[in-house]
Formats: sequence, structure tokens, C-alpha cells
Amino acid sequence: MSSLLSKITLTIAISSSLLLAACSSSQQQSGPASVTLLTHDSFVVSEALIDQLKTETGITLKITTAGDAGAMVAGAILAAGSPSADAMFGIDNTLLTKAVDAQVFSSFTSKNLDSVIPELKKDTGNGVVTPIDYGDVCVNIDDAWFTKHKLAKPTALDQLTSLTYRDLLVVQDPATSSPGLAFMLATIAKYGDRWTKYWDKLNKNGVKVSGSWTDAYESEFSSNGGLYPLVVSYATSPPAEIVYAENPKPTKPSTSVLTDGCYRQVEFAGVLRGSGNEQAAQRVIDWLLSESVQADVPFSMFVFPARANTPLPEVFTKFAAKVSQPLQLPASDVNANLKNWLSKWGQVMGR
Amino acid sequence: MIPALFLIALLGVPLTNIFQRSFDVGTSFEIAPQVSIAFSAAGQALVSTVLATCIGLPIAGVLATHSFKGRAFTQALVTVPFVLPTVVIALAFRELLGSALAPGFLLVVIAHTYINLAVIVRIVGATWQQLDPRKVTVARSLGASPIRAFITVTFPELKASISSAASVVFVFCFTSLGVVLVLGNSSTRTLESQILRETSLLLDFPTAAITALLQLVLVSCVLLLGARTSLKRTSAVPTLRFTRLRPASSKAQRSYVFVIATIACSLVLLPLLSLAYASLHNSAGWTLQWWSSLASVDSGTTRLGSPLGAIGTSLRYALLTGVVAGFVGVGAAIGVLTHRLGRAVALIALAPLGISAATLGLGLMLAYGRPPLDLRSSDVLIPIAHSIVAVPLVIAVVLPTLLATDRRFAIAASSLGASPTRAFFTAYGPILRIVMIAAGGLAACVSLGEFGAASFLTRSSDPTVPVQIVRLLQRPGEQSFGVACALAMVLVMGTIALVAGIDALGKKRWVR
Amino acid sequence: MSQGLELRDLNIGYTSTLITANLQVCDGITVILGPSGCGKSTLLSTILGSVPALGGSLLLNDVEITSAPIHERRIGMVFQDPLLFSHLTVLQNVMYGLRRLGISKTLAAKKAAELLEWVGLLGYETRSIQELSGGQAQRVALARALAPEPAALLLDEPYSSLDAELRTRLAAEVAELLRSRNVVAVHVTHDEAEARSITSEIFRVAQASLERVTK
Repeated sequence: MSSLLSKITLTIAISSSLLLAACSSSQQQSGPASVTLLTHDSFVVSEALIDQLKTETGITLKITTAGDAGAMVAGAILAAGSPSADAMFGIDNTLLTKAVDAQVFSSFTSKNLDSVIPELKKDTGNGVVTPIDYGDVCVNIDDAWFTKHKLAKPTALDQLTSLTYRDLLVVQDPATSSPGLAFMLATIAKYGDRWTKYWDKLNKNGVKVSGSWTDAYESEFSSNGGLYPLVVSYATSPPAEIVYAENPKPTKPSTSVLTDGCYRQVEFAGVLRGSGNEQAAQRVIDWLLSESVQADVPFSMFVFPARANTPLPEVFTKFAAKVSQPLQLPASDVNANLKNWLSKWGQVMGR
Repeated sequence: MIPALFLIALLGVPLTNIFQRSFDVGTSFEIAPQVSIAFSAAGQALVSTVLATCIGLPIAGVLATHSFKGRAFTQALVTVPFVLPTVVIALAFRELLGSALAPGFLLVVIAHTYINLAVIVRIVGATWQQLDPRKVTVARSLGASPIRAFITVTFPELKASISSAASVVFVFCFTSLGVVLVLGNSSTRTLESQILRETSLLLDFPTAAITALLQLVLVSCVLLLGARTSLKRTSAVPTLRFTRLRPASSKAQRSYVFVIATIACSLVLLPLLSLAYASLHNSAGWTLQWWSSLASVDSGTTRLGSPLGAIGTSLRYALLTGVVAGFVGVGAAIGVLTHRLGRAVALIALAPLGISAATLGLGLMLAYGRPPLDLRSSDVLIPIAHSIVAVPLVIAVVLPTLLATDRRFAIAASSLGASPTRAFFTAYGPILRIVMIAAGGLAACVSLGEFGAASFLTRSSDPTVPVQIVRLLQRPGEQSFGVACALAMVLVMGTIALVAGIDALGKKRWVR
Repeated sequence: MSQGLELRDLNIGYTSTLITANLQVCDGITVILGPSGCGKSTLLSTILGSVPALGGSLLLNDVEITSAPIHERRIGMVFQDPLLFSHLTVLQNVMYGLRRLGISKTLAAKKAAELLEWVGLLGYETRSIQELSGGQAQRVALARALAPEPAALLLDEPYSSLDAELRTRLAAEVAELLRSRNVVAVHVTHDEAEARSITSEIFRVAQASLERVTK
């Protein structure tokens, strides 16, 4: 009775799905002149540069996004050896080891690697990825607030546990937020085995834990109407504030950065193993490190280009904090201990 | 039968994969933390469900039994929170209540109630609308006050659909992710957020798999309970009749309708208004600049597609989901009524509700991520995922209504010589049409707001509007925030229009 | 008159007046004849109280009830469909009105059982309503309506969903039952033959008012 109707419907549904699948899969299987770049939701590049890539090399760049960096890497690990894209951009030092162990990438580092700043040259995961950009996660300071309350701005991470700065700091949960995680790793890098003591003191000093960067920065930060003049964010947040301010734009930022205790996040790109389109994918990675793309990186993604001597926009040179000694943990350490660290953090903070 | 097989095929493979992967878990695994999370999530879900039901029932009643000016608008408006991405809702609540309420249990419960009102109103309302109002009149004539009449006559007839709706709401709140992440704290963690943590952060797939299975088992139990009450033949079988909705007759009734409708609209509008306010304000005062830069913001970069394009993408997925889920879901509901194994079919088909977005994403990633069935690159995976999520909802809406139809119609029709199929459609035909449209509409709404599973699966180069909003929110600057709010308002208005349009389609009623 | 229903210039309708009714129903059954859509069902609904009158007044036993709520009017109603409460047994259905009056469960059960016997359904007390035939259900509906001893009973085409033979038989039986209990009733139908078999007090809806029909 009704099964007839169901049968017909189902047949139509299934056959059209398969048809669609067949058509689009063959489309997405990159032809010789196109490369599919797998990346996360925060990847941005100027369209003019993509056109330039096509003109110079004949390669059409297709970008597919896969959620945040973690989701992207998870999917890539599960598909290692038979990827749906040709190259990946956006894996960072926290996630690198697992991906390398799962043999997600094929051996390749860009021919432009030598032009990268010295600190990053050796960061290649044993020859499978190329660093493309880096950023620093630091505590941001609301200058206006401190001026108004006639309080001296903090200059060191240690000071955050003192009564002077009680109830003034908001951080993010490392389990749900990338900058939050970076800040936790910074404290581990700085304090070694005593890092949990530091957090205990922070906790007793009234630190607020937020679930996401958006919430902490857009709602809790006093510069945006909240109650906390100290927030974990990026070293490039102050210039970003100017760039994305309403017109007329202010001439200098109202926030600054605590340069002690910054954690360096590096983003890498690599060729995915088994895509069958390795040559073209390699060209794309070279392109990511090219002068024009590297010069575009600051305004597009608000991070610093890995390539040395790349001209930076004025807001960056004037207002982006120069972090002289960023903290960083070896990727293999993070990989081995992350679960344990998160668990300890949760215990100390009561979350 | 066949729709159920469709679901089993689509679901069984990912689930088996999850099941297999869970065996790889190491010896250091402990179940205790997951269990305690499950308990607190259950507590939160229970409170949210009770609150949503208490507020939703009067609204459902008013919409179902009276016609009044602004009814269509109210009906559409109440559905909007359900469709909006949770990140938008969370943002709106932070704007509205941020200074008054800290993130935590209360805020999460309020947000959950807000979002799930639509589920109660739609599911219970669909059945309520079909009830014969003359029964209440009879009860009144026998001396029952309006409240007494409701308790003794109407409520028993609604029990099945209330149970159905409440279990759906419970499951949604139990597996909530977005709201909990933004508006919650350590007391409101859910297993869903655990799965996410294990998959995307710790890259520990076996543990993720076990957590997913644990959640699945718990949720299935809840759904079974809800379904049992719904499917019990001995419970009240309301007599259905198609009537044109009449306006409220007495002054008392009119005031009641007015008060409830006003409260409903205000409750729904408040957070949305705070969003609208944010989209029209900067530090200097009122402004239109966020709206005017909608078209031009970030142009020339790959960051944002055109808002229109994104809406188009979302709509495409939504329509596809609505059609597929509508047919499959109604087919399965019919299967319940007509086959001996009907109940088993219904329960199996309801299972996907327990398969949360993260679980589904994980499973599909594990199963379909590689050849020979490499569907990742095709656009069809997202509507499939959405359909799987939507079909149980469709069944939950459709089943109580179908059960309520007087089966004597079918018997009468066949005694007059009609073939079984003919008799079936004579009895159920008119209801089927209404119900399929309502159900398909709800499925489309689910697709529009579904943002979670998609993030595991999307290989799409067409960002949807929710994705664009999230991107904007993740960077500093007044402009980012203002334009994000403006974009969110676009989504809100588009949703209202879509829902109102679908409702208008299903509007035709017959008078017997 | 001091007993029964009285309609004085009662304006029947939803937004505009369909009928201006003047009627006195003192005892026995009065039938209102008329084709579908002329407003006779609305007339009953107005007397019952589920639709407000647009004007005029309605009195029951000399008491004005024009704006009284339904549950205070003590008027019973039987519809075309039995509309039995499906989650209750036959006996519980009949007991419903008695319980609303505050009568104890045991006493209500006893009175309800008596009424069931009166309509010829002795032994059906614990049946579920799904087991009843059309005619049986309608009789239960009648018993249920009469249980709280209403001052008046309204019947809206109560037999039209039954087959012809059952219809005439039930109509005659019920008429006799109502007469034996001295129940004042208003019965609406479109079937003239049925009307004549029940009573001689027949009115027709014509020119927006009620006029008496003589043989």
C-alpha cells in the first residue's frame, strides 16, 4: 500500500544521491591544473592572490573548509593515505605530532623554506610541513581602564597572582578555546612543574574562566563593555581593533599587550599523502610562502608572516607588540601530556 | 519498512565504525568522569524540559484553538529560536542578560527553554489543533470549569504528544553543545562537549567513540520511554475533526488569548531585539553603517561570500532535507500503523535522535571518509546528515497525530468496498497532507539551524550564514561585532519569512 | 411561565444575526427544523453558551442566563457524534457530570449505573468506549448528558450518523425516555419525518426567525 509510494520515493532519493555523488566527486577529484586546499574556518586570503596563482602557474585553487583546526586535523588523520584534498593549511604545533605520526603528510618542505625567519626554520615536523605564519597569544590590557583607575599596568606574568590585580583577569577554558590552551601551555613552559600552583593562585585571585575567545573578548573585556581589563587574546588584537573600528578610525589603539608569558602558535602547511596531485600541491605550498602571499597574511589573518623581511602594514609595525622571548613547548611534549595537563587544570580550577 | 531500511543503511555503517573503534581504547581509560558528566547533563536537561513544557503548553493551546490577529506571525516567531544557530542565540542572551546573569546552570536552562519552545509548540500543537473542540463543550455543559475541562478532557488526549515532544526536548538539551560552551560553566558540561574535546583536541578517537556510545545508550533509553507512552494503544485516542479556527468567543477567552500571545511574542523577541539593537548601534549612538557594510565587508578576500549566496546555500540544503525527511519520516510513521512490526520500525527510526551531531559527524567521518564510498566531496552529505537528524523529529510530530485519527474511517471505507490502500488514504489522506507539510517544514528548519554535524563533515566551499557569523565573531573590532549582529538579523528575518511561508502552505482546513 | 426555556428576541449568529429567536419551551421536546447552514446549530450553541448571543435575552426557569458561562447553566447537550471521553470507561463517562457536582464516587457510580440501565446498556459499565457500536455510544452520550439532571437538554442532529433503521428506533426510544423523565428538550434536525415522529411542537427557521409548523 503505502510501501509503493515509499519505494518510489526511496528509489528517487537514493539514485539521485548516488548520481550527485558521482558527478561531484569526479568534479572535486583535482585535475592536473587544480589543487584542493584543506583548511579551517579562519583561513583568509585575498582573491587577487588566487588569481595571480592561476596566471603564473595555471593552477586553480579550490578551498574547502572543515570547521576549526582540530576538526580539520581529525578528519585528515582518519583519512590518512586517501585524502579528499591535496594540501592542508592551518595545522599548528599543538596538533602536529599526532598528524605526523598518522602519516597524514608526504615528505616535502617548501623550496622557500630558507627565506623563513631563523626561529622557525627547523620547525618542519621532520620534513613534512612548512611553517607559514605565526602568532603570539598574550594577555591584552585595557589601557583606558588602568589610566582611569590609576593603577599601574602589569609587566610580568607573576604579577597576575598579586592582590593588586585581583578580579581583573579573564582567561578561556583550554579545552574549548585555542588561545586558552595556548595560555595554559605558556604557564607550563614558564613554570615547569609548578604550573598548577600558579593556576591555584590565579584561581584564588579571582580569575574568570570563559568558554570561548568571543565571549571573553567581546563580552567580558572592559574595552568592550565588560568588567575585566585583562584578557587572554592575541598580540595582534590591538592593531585589529583599529582596523575594524568604525570610522573615523582612532590613531592609536586603546589596548596594549603584556609581553611576558606570550605563547607562540605556528601554523603549517603540508602536502597530503596519497592525493595523486603532489606536484601541483607543492607549488601551492611554495605560493603560500611567496612574498606576495606573506605580505597579505597580516591583514587577512592577523598573524605574522613566517617569511623574513616581509614588509608589514603600518598598524602592525607601530602597534603590534614585539614579543622578544615567546614561550613554546616541543610538539611531542604537548602530544604526550595534553590529556594529563587538561585534567590537572580542570582539577585545580574546579571545572 | 523501507524508509527504516534506508536509515539503517545510512546509520548502521557509521555506528559500527564507532563501535569498532571503541575497542581500541587503552587501559588507562576510566568511565567515572563520563558518568558524572552524564548525571549533571541529565539534571540540566530535565529542568530545561519541564520549563519548556510549562511555558510551551499554554502557547500551543492558544495557537491551536483560536484564530486571532497575528496568529500566523506568532506561530512563525515561536519557531525562529529553534532555527537560529546556537552561537547567535548565545550571543543574543549574552547581550541581553550578560550583566545580570553569569554563565552557568540558570543561563543555560533559560537558553534551552527559549530554543526548544518551538518543539513543544509544534509537536503538541499539531495534535491539539486536530482535537474536536466539541468535547470540551460537552465537558463544560456537564459542569466543568474551563480549567477542569482542560485537565480531565483535553490533557489526556494530549498526553501522547506531550510525552513525545518532551522526550525530544530532553534529548536536545542533554546533547547540547553550543549553548553549553558559551553560556555554561563546569556544572553544565555535556557528553557532547566531551566527544568534541576528544575528537578535535585530544585526537583520541577510541575514547571519543566510547563517550559517543554511552551517550547513545542513555538517549535511546529516554526516547524509548517517550515512545512507549506515545504508542500505547490504550491511551486516549482523540476524535479528529477538521475545523476552521474560530476566534475566541468570550471576553475572558479573548483576554487569555491576548495575554498568552503577547507573552509568547515578547519572550521570543526580547533576545532578538537585543541583537537588533547591537546591529544598529556603535559607541556614538544609532547607526546604519553595519548594515550598509554587509555587502562590502571583507570584499576581495576569501573570508566571506556574499550573504545572499550563503542564504541560498542554506536554503538549498534546507529544502532538500525537508523533502527527504518529510517523505521518509511520514513513511516510517505510516509503517508504524500498518505493519505488525510497526513499533519496532518506529523505535529504530527514532534512534537517530539519540545520535547527536558530534556522534553523527564522528561516525560518518569514520565510515564514509574513505573509498569506495567517498561522499565527502559531494554536496549530498550535508543534506543526508541533516535528514538523518530530522527524520526522527518528523516521526515525533507525525505519529501522535496519525495515531489519533479515528481508524474507523479506514474500516468504514473498506466495508464500503474500497481497497486497503484506498481506505487508508481516505482515512488519512487529508491529515497526511497537512502533517507532511508541517513535518517537512520542521525538518527544513532543523537543517537551517544545524551547524554542529556540518562542521565535522563540511568540505564545502560555500559557507553558510552561520559560518560567516562565527568567523566575524572570532576577530576583534567594533565592525566585526556590529556586522555579525546585522548578519544574524538577516538570518532571523529570513527564518521568519521561511517559516511563515511553510505555515501558509499547510493552512487549508476543511469543515466537516 | 416559570418552567423551561425562554428565548426573547435572542439574536443568533457569529458576527451578524442569522436568526432572531422567540421561543418558549415548557415541557417535552420541541423540534427545530431547517436545512444545513441556516443557523440552527448556532442556535443550540447559543443556548448552551459556547457562542455568545448578539442581543436579546435567554431565560431558564425564569432566571436570566444570557451571559452565564457554560458550566453554570445546567443545560446538557448531545451532538451528532457521541464525543465520549476515550480515556474513561463507559461508566466513568456517565459519572463525569455527577463528579463535577461534587457527588462522591460511590454515589455517582450508583446513579450512573442506574442511568445506563435506563438506556438499555446494563452490563456495559466497564467497557472501553472503543468497543461500542454507533448506537450504543450515542445512548451512553445521552445517559452522560442526563446524569447531572440538567434543567434542559439540547440535541443537535443526534441520530444522523446512524443508519436509517437504528435512527427511527432510537429517536422513538429517546423521545419516550425524555418524556418519562419530564425533561425539557430542544431537538434540531433537518429530517421532517423524524421530527413528526417525535413531537408535535415543531418550528422552522424561516426569514431569520422561528415559525411554528402546523400539520
